[in-house]
Amino acid sequence: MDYNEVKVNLRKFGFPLSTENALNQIQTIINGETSRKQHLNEDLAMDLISEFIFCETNEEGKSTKPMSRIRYLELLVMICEYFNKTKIKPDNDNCCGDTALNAIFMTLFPQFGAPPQRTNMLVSLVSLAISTYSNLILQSAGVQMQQLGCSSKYSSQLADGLVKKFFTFISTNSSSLHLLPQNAPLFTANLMTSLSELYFNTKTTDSNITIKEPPRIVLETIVRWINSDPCLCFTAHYTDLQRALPSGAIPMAATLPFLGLFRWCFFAPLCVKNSNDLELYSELHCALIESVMQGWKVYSEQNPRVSRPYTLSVHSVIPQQLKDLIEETIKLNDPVSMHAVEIVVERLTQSIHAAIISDTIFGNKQDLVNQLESLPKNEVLKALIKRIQV
Amino acid sequence: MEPMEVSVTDEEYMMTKAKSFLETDCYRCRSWLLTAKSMFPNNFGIHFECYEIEKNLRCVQRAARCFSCLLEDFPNEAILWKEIENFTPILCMDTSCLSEEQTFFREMFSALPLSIQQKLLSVCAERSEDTMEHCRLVLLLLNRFPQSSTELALKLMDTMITAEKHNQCPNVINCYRKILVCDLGPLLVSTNTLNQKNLYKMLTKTTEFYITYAMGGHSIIQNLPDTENYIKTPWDDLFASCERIGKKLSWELRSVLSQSDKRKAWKKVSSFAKKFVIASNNSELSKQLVFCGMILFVRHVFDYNKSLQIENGSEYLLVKAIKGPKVQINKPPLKQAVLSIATKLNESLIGITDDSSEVLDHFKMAFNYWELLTNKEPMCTDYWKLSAQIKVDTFIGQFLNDIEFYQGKYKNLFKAVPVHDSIRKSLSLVTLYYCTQEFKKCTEHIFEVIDQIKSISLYGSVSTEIANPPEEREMYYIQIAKLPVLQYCVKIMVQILYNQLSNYPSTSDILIGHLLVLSQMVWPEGKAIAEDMYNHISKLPLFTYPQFSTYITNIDIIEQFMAMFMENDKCVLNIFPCVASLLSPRISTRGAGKEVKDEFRSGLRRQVRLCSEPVDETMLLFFKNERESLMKTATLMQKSLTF
Repeated sequence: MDYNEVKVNLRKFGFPLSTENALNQIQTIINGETSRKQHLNEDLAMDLISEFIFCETNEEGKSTKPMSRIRYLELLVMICEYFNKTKIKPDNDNCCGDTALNAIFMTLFPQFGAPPQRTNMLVSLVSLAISTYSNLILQSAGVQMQQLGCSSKYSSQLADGLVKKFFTFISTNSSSLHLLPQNAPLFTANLMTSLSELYFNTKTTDSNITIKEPPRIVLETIVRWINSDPCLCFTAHYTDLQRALPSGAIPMAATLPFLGLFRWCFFAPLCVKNSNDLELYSELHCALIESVMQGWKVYSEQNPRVSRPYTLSVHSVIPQQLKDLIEETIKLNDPVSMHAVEIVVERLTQSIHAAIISDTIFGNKQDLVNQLESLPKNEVLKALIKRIQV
Repeated sequence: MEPMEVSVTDEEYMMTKAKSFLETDCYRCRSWLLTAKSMFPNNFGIHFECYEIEKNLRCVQRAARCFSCLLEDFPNEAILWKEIENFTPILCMDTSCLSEEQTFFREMFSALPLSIQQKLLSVCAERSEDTMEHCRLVLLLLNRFPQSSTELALKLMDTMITAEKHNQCPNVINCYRKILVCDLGPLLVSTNTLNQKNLYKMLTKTTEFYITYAMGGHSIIQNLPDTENYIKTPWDDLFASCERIGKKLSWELRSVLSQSDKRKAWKKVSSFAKKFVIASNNSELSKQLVFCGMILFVRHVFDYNKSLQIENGSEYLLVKAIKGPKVQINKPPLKQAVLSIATKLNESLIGITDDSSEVLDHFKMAFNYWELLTNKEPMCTDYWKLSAQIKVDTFIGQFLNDIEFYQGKYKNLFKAVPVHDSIRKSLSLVTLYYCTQEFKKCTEHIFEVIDQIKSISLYGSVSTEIANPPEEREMYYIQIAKLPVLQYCVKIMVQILYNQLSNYPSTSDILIGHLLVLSQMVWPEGKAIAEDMYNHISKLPLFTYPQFSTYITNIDIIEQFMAMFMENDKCVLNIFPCVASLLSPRISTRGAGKEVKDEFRSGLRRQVRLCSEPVDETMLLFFKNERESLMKTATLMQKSLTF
């Protein structure tokens, strides 16, 4: 087929028909038979997407003015409907969505090569999909996040965008948020991992150490999600991503939200002042160690052939920043600070113990003992070290 | 010894630590508990304490999780089973009256994995020593897990039947039967567990239970909690249960039970009987017919009994229709006359004293079924067998009595008269003695009725059915109310007096006077009687009835007397005592002066003023004052018949 002919044909229609036809055209291009001119096909798809779907370029390939807000909304709804109406294969699970749709999603929202406004479009689309239970979009997004890495810029931007444009405007009791783990578990798990990296992560910018706390709604939602299903955090590990990807693609290793979320719990007593929030961190910690101990046990009993995941790693469980922060706090030497340090050590001990019990800790015994011995001494810590050494 | 001690201290340390946060931060406490549990997986004490802490925190999901772990890891701990015994009875209780802790247990049980729920229920049911509790647990098991063994269900059916016998329940309305019929029955029937023999057993038990409940006027079933110790709609439940069982027995006739149009149901039953049962003599079909027929029959009798009791406290009684008055009463027949047409209801034979047609309809329907079930083989044998089993006769006594009355078997009915004195008893005896032509006794009881009539609060209205029944009428339902009952008594008295008058015209004055008085109560039909009396009077040289001024209030009669007085040539009307004293010893009006005539006129005029007096009051006064003469007449009449 002549590429120009395709474009000329599409140009005969106005919005929304042009967009609708373009989507169908892209579907046939991407999921059509692989030909020798594969890369040319992909180029065509990219062109069609920027001209007919997101209207980022005109006929001559030059950038255009941003579209109107109404048009923007209409386009979002159209993409949502496009994903929703596509037939789901009967053997489809609710984790990785539809392979063909995943490919289209990846082309619509690629890691590289798309103008920055498309990231905003992605955030809006995912927000809409959460609210409208458009699970196939969420599942595709989950696959894409994992493929590109949950701590990648792409995933972080999506997670951050969702917090700023969605979470902060929604009520804790929203049922679309509650049902998200059931409707799109991989997306939920990967979103948690991405979110976990956004906060309590010391970034030394301009030699200023800033520690950011998550908004309360994010914290509450994550606690609720983990409590609703102890296996949820393991989803990325046991999902067979290969099935979700176009042929030839290599699945990326999963990262689990444990390490990041545990870090929240370790930093919180030292950084957070609000007592209501502190209570929530206590609940989060409890949910996490329960998930570490129960979640994997439950899942592996039902699926004995899946390999063991790692929830904690000896080398990163006690980051240097945490050690520094503990030391600084101890220096203050007041009861409140000492109490905070006690909680941190207690949580560290409990979470490491949970990981040991469930045999999901990565690293060397002696290294772990060394790490633990650098912490302020404590009865439980002593008992734990004794146990590790036995 | 040492390491042992250390480990105990470790455990104690962790639990103390955990509990120290119970008040301030329950999640911190839980984190400690989780750690302690995972550190000491074999320590029952720690695990059980964790469960208790969750229980006290009223956290259903966590407690359930702890509990199922306990059951899995420590299945033989006595303390655990003690706890199970604590909460299994709660599962059988009514949800509305549970304490907070009991509600928690119930919710926790529901949160347990299904396999554990089932295991717990069956083990506890087995262990339970109390029959009721055992049965409720098995029921719960069967309800929640319909796939659980059918053997268990059958065993429970036997247990309930034995329990009923064993506990010497005074009647079928007891807690075991209620559970057997209302809870276990539907379950067993729906799961195809019962063979034909057991289906019939269940059907009989069910029918007996509901019929006894509905017909016996039961309300509370002993030894059951308040919410389930009564049955709101026993008939509907009976029909539904029997239809369910009938379906399993592939009964074609079962649909009549839910048929709302009773006439259509009857048509179906009777044509089924004619087409299949009587012709084929098939015992299965006959059983089917007898069960369905009997249930509908008893239901109609129930409706019949209900319709006999009117809402305002009054009731109906079936009595003999009093014809006449010109009916020649013959000597009593030696043998009882039985209505030959008794097998087919002749509707025109029965009437009712007011407009309510319900009584007649219900009687007719009940009669139809009765006749179908008891008059032809093979249903007849089956019916009597079933009826004896369920003791149907104890509930349909009134109907059976009325059937005998209809058939004219009056002598049998004396024993069925109510034991306690009541207007109903007296009136029953009046009509029965009338039927058996014992007029003396009949009259005695009429006076009994009159004595009690003041106690009836309902006034009622006079009825042409009583005053002048249609020719073919043999009996009617009389409303037990002042006017109809009084009218009925009057009607019998009229017949007795009239009969006596025609037999012994010599004692006529008082009879004629009395008849005139009584005719007022059945006016305008009484006019014929009055005219006959005028005729009698005109033939008399002198008519003496000093009670005239007391009892005659009817304007027509007074006018007639005025007319007779005016044109009087032969008869002297000696009806005003004051006037009588003025009459000369030689009785003749011709000799009477103008004075007498004026006195008589003014007497009648005074009488006219009374014509607005209520006639029933006059009648009561009449019966009260003239008791002796009326009794005498009745006795004479009785004698004249006997000799």
